[in-house]
Amino acid sequence: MKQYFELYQDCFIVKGAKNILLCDVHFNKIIDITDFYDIFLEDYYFPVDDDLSEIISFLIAEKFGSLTENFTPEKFRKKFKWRTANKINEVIIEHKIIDGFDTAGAYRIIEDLSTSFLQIRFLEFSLARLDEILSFIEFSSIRTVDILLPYTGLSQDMTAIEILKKNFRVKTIYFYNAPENKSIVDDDNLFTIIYYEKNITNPKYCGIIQEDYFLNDINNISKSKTVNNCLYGKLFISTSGDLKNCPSAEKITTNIDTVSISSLTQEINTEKERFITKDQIDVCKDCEYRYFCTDCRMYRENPENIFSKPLKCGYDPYTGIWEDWSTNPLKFNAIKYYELENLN
Amino acid sequence: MLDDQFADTLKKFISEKEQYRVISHKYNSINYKVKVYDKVCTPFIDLKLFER
Repeated sequence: MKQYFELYQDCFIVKGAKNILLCDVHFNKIIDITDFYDIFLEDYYFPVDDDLSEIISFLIAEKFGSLTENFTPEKFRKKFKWRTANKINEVIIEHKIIDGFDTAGAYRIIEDLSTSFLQIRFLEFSLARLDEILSFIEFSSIRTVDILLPYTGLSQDMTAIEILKKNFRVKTIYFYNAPENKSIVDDDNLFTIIYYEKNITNPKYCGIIQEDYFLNDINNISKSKTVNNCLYGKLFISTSGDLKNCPSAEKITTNIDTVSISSLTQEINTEKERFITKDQIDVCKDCEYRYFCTDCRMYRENPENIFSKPLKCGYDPYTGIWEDWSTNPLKFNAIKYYELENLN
Repeated sequence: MLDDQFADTLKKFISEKEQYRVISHKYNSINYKVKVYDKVCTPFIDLKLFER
């Protein structure tokens, strides 16, 4: 009887203009199958042949699939759906020693939104201020917190680390304006300290597209197919209380001191960028990495086109080559438009 | 000790394996530069600066 090799339900093929990838969201693996993709009859099975024994052995050993006499009808293959109960799931909030908004009120709104992930950026810092802010999230729905602190080189840096290490929601501390780039990873406690030379509270540093930011998990992939994987569910609260989709966004939605949750959730539904998927973006839609990659709608190759390729992406899916985006002459106008020339 | 024939076999095996290039090293290795969690998405760190 005829035998077939069929991919497991958690494995699927992503076709780019030049390269073709096989992705396994269960074991978090991606391999390049461009050289032998043509053996597939459909995108999840191919007939077994003696000439293919080496490839089949490899795919079975790497747990991408198995041999079968009856391959699954396509309608019974796994489909991606992504749902969330939270309109706002990620909040970035800026603080100075004295904020230009009602800080306690802002954290009440964050709590009422059932936000899961929080990034706290201290533009000015004191240990007393840190204690005060941490008290707002002591009994909250927040799952993880990243904290950005200005590097001082003084003992208060170490004191802050000791305080934050004991707070199990805090997973990453970024010390910006540090003398060197260094990361210290505590795997046992899932706690990371990152020292970084640049001032990453400047929104112009965001929007980086790199392989290291690729996320090969079912949550990110299904989200990427449904909504914008960076902007959907995100909210930025500036030090003056202005609300924006993200720190780099130009449009101010409203102010945290005057907003109600119902008006906010209605307002964000009108922001088109939140719903743009990678399949709609120029060039990205032909890229084999489109479901693993991050996106950025705030810095684009063509600032006039909201569907334009992310400016800070140096990958060309038509050649399969990565290059330094910042030296690409075709991007100079956009770099000038966003005033990114003198960032380093 | 490897005899020459076995060394060649191993070399061939390794070179053949390399053609199936694992793209995202980060997710096939425990040697992460920056550990990834469920977190706010802010790709503002140039991770190449952390390469060892």
